[in-house]
Amino acid sequence: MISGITPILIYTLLYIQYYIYSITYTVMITLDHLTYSYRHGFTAISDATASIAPGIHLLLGENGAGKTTLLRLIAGLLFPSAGTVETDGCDMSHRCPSTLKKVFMLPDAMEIPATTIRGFAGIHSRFYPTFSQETFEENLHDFRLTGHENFNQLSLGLRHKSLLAYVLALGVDVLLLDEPANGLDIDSKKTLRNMLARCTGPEQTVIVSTHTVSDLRELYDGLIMLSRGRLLLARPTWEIAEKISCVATPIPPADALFTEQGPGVFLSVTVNRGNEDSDLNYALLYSALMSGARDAILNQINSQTSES
Amino acid sequence: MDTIATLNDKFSWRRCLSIGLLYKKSIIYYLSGSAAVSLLCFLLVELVNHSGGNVMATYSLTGLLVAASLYFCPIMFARRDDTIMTLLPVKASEKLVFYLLLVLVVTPAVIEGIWYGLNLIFSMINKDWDLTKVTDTYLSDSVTDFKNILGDQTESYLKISQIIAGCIQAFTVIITGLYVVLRSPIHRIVKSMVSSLGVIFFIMIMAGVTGGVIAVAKMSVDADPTKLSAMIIEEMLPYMIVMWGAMLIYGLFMTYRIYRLLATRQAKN
Repeated sequence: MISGITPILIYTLLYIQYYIYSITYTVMITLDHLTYSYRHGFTAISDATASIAPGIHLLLGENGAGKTTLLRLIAGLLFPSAGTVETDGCDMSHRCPSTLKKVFMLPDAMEIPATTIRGFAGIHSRFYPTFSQETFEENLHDFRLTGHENFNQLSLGLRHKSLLAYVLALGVDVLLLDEPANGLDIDSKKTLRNMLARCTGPEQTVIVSTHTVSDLRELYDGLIMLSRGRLLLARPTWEIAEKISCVATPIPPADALFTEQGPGVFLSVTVNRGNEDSDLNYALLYSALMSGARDAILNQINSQTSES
Repeated sequence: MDTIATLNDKFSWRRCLSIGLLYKKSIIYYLSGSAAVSLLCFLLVELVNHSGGNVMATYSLTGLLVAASLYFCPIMFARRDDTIMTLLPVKASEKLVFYLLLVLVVTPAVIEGIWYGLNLIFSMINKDWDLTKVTDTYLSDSVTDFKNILGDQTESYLKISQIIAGCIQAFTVIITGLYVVLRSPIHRIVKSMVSSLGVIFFIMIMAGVTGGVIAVAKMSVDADPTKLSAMIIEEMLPYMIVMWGAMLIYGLFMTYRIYRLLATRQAKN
């Protein structure tokens, strides 16, 4: 009798421990009516409200949609004109060291105060207690870099690789990557995909802003979509995939919310009536949300959410 | 590798001093360059003094170079990109204290320390090589005039106030340069140097105008030209004290502005 109860007890205790861990260490990014306007009056982000859970998130939007502005707001590099952005319950505009050590943003171009990425890591990583030298070495090796290359003499792609190798080893809770695959060759993009999967823990949040959605397609746990400063969508991919399907058919489905002609097939966004998981075609979804079908698709996602 | 404690948000000296790691290269370059300038300038003056040349002219010219290396020291913090510094898990007050320590304590200590240290060493070796005495000899007429007019007590008061004035002037000029170098989005080095020069010229113009007005007023009362310069300085003192006070207030205000800048710095758009 006792021997039968023991595994259940252990399982229950482990579950309680996991639950406490998840509520204690899960870092959530919360946007609350976030608005950012430039001095000349242009509103880059307008009234964005969302909660972004740990995982790898794809940030999509047309040029000038406000993607970089949103990343900068989350990193605390910009202060909201209205509303708040909180990481782990802490307002980023307060710039507390205890919060800043959990967040890092890699912009598309960044100057480092050292000649080599190793030199930079040697001084900069001291401020980040979660940095892993082992992971850094592994990342450099994967990108076929020694880390002793003169940073200023490297090409754009190699600079980017050096920085990616370093920032992915920082182990911060929130990592914001602006066009990380920019300038990377095909092999390096594959390496980046593997590296990102390897370096991102279940408690970490990585937001990747990119226009080339295919590079890291399989990794995304969530999708954030901006258009002209408006936050259209911020949902986990499984939740979106439960409600809509991206299908390729020889004839467009009659009930398609959006259809575009691909090479020899029609690519359509349809209602996922069976509530079955389907692979999301991010490029198609982006086109759909940029078209006149936007409201229908958003309504579909939102209405089903309220029902569920 | 040592990790800097970033667990609490209280002021941390360790974090504050660790900021230096991110400026290590520029600090080393600037301080060694300034130290070399200070050393070479002193040796040049000593050489001219020893060979019987025009010490005062050399002293004035080299003094300008040394002063410039001190006044322009905030340029060691010039960066094209502030992203790393803004994201760094460090308090704004820690950054401010670091910058102030470097520009107001470390750099003056290195530059002036070399100059006066060498002077001390040279004067210990040979008393004739004490630059202070040499320059005093060249200015003997004015010094005698001051002593006659001001008396011993006022003379020492004048010397102390000269030191204080020098410190306030350096503080005002350096803090302006620091503010500009941290504030400007582009051409930071040039802008910082120009703003420091601007403050120096402003101080000189204000002192010149005050002295000029007093000179004109005094000339009409007492036309003895041998004592005029000392009398002008004596008359200027109360006005200069007001000006030093204003400069000090301005310097403190700029320090506050730097703090606000560091606390609320945003990315370039």
